[in-house]
Amino acid sequence: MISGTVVWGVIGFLLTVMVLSYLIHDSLFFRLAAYLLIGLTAGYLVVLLVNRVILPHLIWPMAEASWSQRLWLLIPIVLGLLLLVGQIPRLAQLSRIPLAYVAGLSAAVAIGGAVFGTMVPQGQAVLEAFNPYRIYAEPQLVWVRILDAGVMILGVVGTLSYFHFGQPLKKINRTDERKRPKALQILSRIGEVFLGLTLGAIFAGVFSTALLALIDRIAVLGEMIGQFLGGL
Amino acid sequence: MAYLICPECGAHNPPEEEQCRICQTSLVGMEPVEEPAPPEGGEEELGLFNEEENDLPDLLQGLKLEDIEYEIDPEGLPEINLDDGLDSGEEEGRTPEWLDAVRKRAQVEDDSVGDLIKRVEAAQESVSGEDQEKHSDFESWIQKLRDEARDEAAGNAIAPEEPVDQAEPDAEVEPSKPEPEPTPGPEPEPGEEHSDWLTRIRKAHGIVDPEEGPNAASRSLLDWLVALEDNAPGEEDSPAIRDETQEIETGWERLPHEDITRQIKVVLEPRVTPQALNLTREESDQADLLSTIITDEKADHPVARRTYKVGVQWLNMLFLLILVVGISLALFTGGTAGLAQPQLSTGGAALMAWVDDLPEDADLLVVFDYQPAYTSEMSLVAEPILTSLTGWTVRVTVASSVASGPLLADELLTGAGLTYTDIGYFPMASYGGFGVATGLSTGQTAPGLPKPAQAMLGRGYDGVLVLSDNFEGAQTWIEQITARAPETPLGVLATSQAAPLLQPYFESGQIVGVLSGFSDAVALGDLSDSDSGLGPRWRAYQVGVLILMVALILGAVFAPAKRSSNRQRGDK
Repeated sequence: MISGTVVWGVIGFLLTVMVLSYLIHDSLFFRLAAYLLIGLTAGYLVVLLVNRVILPHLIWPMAEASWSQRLWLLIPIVLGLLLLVGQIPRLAQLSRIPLAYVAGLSAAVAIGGAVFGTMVPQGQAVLEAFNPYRIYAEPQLVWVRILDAGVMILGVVGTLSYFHFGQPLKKINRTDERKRPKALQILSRIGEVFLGLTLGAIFAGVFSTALLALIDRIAVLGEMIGQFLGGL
Repeated sequence: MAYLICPECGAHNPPEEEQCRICQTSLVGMEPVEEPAPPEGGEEELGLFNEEENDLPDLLQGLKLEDIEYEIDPEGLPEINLDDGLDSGEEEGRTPEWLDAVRKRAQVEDDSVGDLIKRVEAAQESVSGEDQEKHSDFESWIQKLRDEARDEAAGNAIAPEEPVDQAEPDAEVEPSKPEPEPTPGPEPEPGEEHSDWLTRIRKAHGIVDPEEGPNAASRSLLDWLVALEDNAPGEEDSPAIRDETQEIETGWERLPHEDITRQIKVVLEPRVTPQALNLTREESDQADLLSTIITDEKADHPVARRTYKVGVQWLNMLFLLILVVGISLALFTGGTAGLAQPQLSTGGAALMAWVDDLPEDADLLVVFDYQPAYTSEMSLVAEPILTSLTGWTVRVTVASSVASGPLLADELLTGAGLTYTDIGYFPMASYGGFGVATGLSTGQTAPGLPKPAQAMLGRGYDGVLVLSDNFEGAQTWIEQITARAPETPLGVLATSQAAPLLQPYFESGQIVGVLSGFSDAVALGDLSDSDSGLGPRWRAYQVGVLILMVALILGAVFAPAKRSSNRQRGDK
């Protein structure tokens, strides 16, 4: 009797081969696997949103909550209904209200997090690298700390110079490029080096992650084949 | 040869005549006048001109001086019956030969008009000293034309070979007036006579009289020639005709004006004449470019389908075969020892140290932010942490910012023997992070919120663990929590691809540690001396990295050579 593990193992093996066939050609098998993934994901997402978001966070509290709590819940309900009503062409304007609310709120949350969660702390970290107490905390590592701080500030300034955020928003041509200050050009070249190193590290990480996923697939398939052959 | 000059009309008559052949005036008593003999060697003195050519206008003489190729046959000039052509209109469009010569030259040369102007200027300068005399010749020629025309009209032609008294041009009398007894009027000035017939010709051709303009003095016969050339038949500017009212004479002019005239609306068809465009070379090039673009846009463009080169396909197949076979051999054969043992990263060591320092009843929030495809790596990375937590009385709360988070949490935590509370799925990680961070910072929520929201917001955690497979997802949680609740310890478990960009957050102290990638997992397994079974995978991982490095080096070596060869082919 064929067990469920074998069935799912065979399905997994076939899907893996179908996806790997993209390495040779953009074939029907690869598209079939992609369509299967997209369809399953969409279906799963609908079920998830209903079971994990709408029902526990909106419907059930509405039935159990007090009137004051229901007023709070009324806000997302109204916004959701406006989004649905906006699908009617004559009432399309109404859908702008929830969309504007979401867009404004997302921007506010994202910008606040970027400023106070990345820019300010990272700027403080760069300045902290030049803190004398930190540099002379370990006498044997003074020059290492200084070198570390120097490389850090050089990388920050060089990367910012590469993108040259001070440049007006206009068409840049070679003539404008020559007009840039010489110091800015040199720092921009240094920034290119740091950007190249960063992108190289990211590329290596992506390679490593993808390779590990392939190894896992081969290991699972090998174990399945071994079990199948052993079961025979 | 002697002849008699009529005292009334100035006509030349044979010596034997007693009455003028023209005006019948008595010539009795008139002394015959001897025609002055032509000067010897006159042709040599005037250059190439013969007797008839002396009557040519300055322009034609200048043209003849400049280029003998465009010599104008003077025989054709007297044949132009200007008056007839003007009156009947039959000769409209008929051009004399000398004008044909000018046009011919205009077609041959690039800038005929400019060249003509130069030649005329040169001719005017060269003949300036003789200008007055040659104008006299020209006037006599014109007079002769008129005489011939009138003689033809009267059926009494004058022999063309009859010499013209150049010494007394003023003696000739205008014979065209039909009065029975012509009274010699004031002698017209040469300039007036010239402008008279020229004006009529210009009117006949629709040319504006240059003498009416402000620069009339500087205009010459050449201007008329050029204008005549430019206003050739068929190129005349015609006003766009619309509705016009014409007054038609019906022969009832003697009747009262109100009775004999009526206004008839005549609709004339507009004459479409091509507009003359003066284009510069740049404008012409741009017009050509625009025309080319429009033509190209209108052309059919077949949809380009991606083509696969057979060689590339076989190369990919070979690479995949080598990779799979190499990894399979490393996985399923040989021992468990790897080629080299990894070292635990600083961030990983810091995270493990923080986990070890947690109280046994710690309240942890675990955020799932990775896709199912990375389950293998994330499980390997999280296993040491979960193993450390096993047996403790920690309270684990789970939040997800990916759709598959609840399933992944169930697989990972339940498999590790941990119980947890799921506070929900946040479609947007920033909202989830913002809500959690707000609850962490304030410790209380707004009154009246539903219970699930209160459970999420109004709770403090001893630490937050974020499991993410990408930098952006982890960054969102880090930003929100460190911006609003910086005192809450935050650790990150990440894949190899997210680790490099998370390093600055660890260096700055925003996160307590980051454990990332397969190498950290293997290093932790070695440190714990537990048989995690990662040996074969670590060896396969190293083999795979080796194969990829070789492929990259080969690609780096051969790809530039291929590009350069393609460039050379393109240059050829």
